[in-house]
Amino acid sequence: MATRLQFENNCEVGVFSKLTNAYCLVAIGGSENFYSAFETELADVIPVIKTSIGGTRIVGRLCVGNKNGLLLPHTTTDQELQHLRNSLPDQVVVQRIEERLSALGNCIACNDHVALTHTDLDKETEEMIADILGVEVFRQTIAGNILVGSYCAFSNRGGLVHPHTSIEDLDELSTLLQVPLVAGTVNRGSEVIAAGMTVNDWTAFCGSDTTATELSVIESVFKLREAQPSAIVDEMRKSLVDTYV
Amino acid sequence: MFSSSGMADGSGMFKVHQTIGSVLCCKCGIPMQPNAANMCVKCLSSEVDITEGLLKRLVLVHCPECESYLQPPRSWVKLQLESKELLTFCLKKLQKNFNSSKVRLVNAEFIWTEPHSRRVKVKVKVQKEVINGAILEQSYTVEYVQQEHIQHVSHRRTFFYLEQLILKHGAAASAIRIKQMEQGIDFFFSNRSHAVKFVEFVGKVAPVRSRSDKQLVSHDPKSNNYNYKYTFSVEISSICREDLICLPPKVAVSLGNIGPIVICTKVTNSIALLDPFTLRHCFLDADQYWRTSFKSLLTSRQLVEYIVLDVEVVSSEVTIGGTKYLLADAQPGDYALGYDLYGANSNDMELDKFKGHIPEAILIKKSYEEKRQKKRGKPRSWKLKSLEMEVDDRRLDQDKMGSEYEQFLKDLEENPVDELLADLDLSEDEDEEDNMTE
Repeated sequence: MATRLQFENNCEVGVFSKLTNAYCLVAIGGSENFYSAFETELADVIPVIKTSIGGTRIVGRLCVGNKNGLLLPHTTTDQELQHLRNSLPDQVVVQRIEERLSALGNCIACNDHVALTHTDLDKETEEMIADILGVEVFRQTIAGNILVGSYCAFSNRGGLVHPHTSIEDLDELSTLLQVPLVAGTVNRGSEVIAAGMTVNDWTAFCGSDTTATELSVIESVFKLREAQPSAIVDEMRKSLVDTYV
Repeated sequence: MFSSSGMADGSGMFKVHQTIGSVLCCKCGIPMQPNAANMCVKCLSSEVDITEGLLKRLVLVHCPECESYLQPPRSWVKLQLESKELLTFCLKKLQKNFNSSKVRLVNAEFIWTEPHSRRVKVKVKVQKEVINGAILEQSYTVEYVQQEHIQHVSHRRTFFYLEQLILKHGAAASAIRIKQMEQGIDFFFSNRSHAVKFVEFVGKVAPVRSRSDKQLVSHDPKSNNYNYKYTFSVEISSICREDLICLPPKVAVSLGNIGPIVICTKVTNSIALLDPFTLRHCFLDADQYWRTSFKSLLTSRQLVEYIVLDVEVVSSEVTIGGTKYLLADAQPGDYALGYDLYGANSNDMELDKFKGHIPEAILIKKSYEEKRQKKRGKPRSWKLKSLEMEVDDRRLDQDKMGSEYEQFLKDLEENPVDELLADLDLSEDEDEEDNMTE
């Protein structure tokens, strides 16, 4: 299910958190409220880690990751890198990359299989993304916006994109991503989707301005109603069994 | 996918045709084309009210006598109800308001109202940029209240008096045509000097302001002759005898701090004023008057009958139960006419400053209602001559004229102001010669 929350009276929760299927990063706030909202939802499934990146709290916009890995910008301090390496599960590869466009979260959007990136990203960065996150990389724009990381949010089950995305673009993107996409908004009409929400395969967190309509769109496109972490694990097991038997 | 694509003009690049998709309105959830606020028009207009801070009730100063509206500061424009010109006039008043709140006027139309309601309603449609540059259009109703403001006095006592003086002195003897107009009389003279003489005469007997204009009718360049038509416009002061006046502060100071509540006691070529509290007299000549051209606060039409219950002499003032009062010869039991300042509905800013310091009533004169009732039925034993005038029947209210004239005659009868009577040329009523003794 999707949850509505605020970070210190700010509805842009996607800026202050990063949620993947294997871990969740949360900014260090003045109070514990924001952290505990994530903790109650996720505590017994994946680690919720309080951190800063490059001394800032805008962790969601600076880093990008999925269940396979986490990419950090060059502004990340050694201490922060070490803290994340210690806190994250062993199978998650943490890597700091030398990319000029340091707000990786704004420039890259990914799920566990595919990544959309800013058109001007370095060749080396693109290779790193493919290697570390284990994804196919596509240089794309969304409704004419080059900051693909800001204007869309997608998981392995569905995705939400900028409301001005044309039907042709929507078709093209969903062909690339192999998930159903829908154009929509968060936070009472905000177009900056990834800033207003953060999502993984079984849960989503939205800014508290998000209306009931927006919430129902999010829940249906990300298929959050029937989703349970255990159901996903079961599915994975089933596929494993399929493969090995 | 490229089936609908074509060459983008000039650039030589393929451009995929873009179909605008639909998103759900973030509030009500109906599918709509995405816009800047991502909200459907209905939700957007419920969320923001662009008419907030716009004027919805304004005042039009209107003169019912000449059906014109005041264009500030002082010009008057004649406008018909529901006319294009009136709409322009009404919208001009809103323009500043629109500019300051950054809205754009799109459409305006009248909503029909009963003329007697003294309301003009205009439906105005405006546009404004709201959240994230979305443009919202909204219509609302502006109500204009017609505030009645009579430019000219509703009665013309000075006017009738002047008529008698003109007759007595034969001032208009050289006039070739006299025509009664709305709010005035036109005199036509064959010679400019006759007209000048007449204007001078009027200036001697009433506080007037005049201006002259000339219009070239024809000219003969060979003999250097120019024929002009001269026009003199004479305006008579609206102040009448017995009017209650609240003097503007400048005038009050220049007259030695008189008033500011004063009573006009006489109108000749100067205006005699009396302060009812200090009994000081002063005179205001026509020049001084027209410099400020104040209006009277209450006129003799608004006199109310009072009964004198008790007279108490306090030093030099006469006071009745806190009500100061002017009549020196009043006795308990007398009927007297006075101004009800307590109940008067005045719109005078100056007067408001003195609230609390002014009495509730000011008595002006004794009432002769009883005598009048006794006399009722008996015809007057005298009558006044009148100027022979052409009357334009279309515009004049005969009943009103008649009652004004009757009022003037009553005033003459009842006021023991000898000078006034002496000035006038009373002619005995020839039809009723039998009972003429007075």
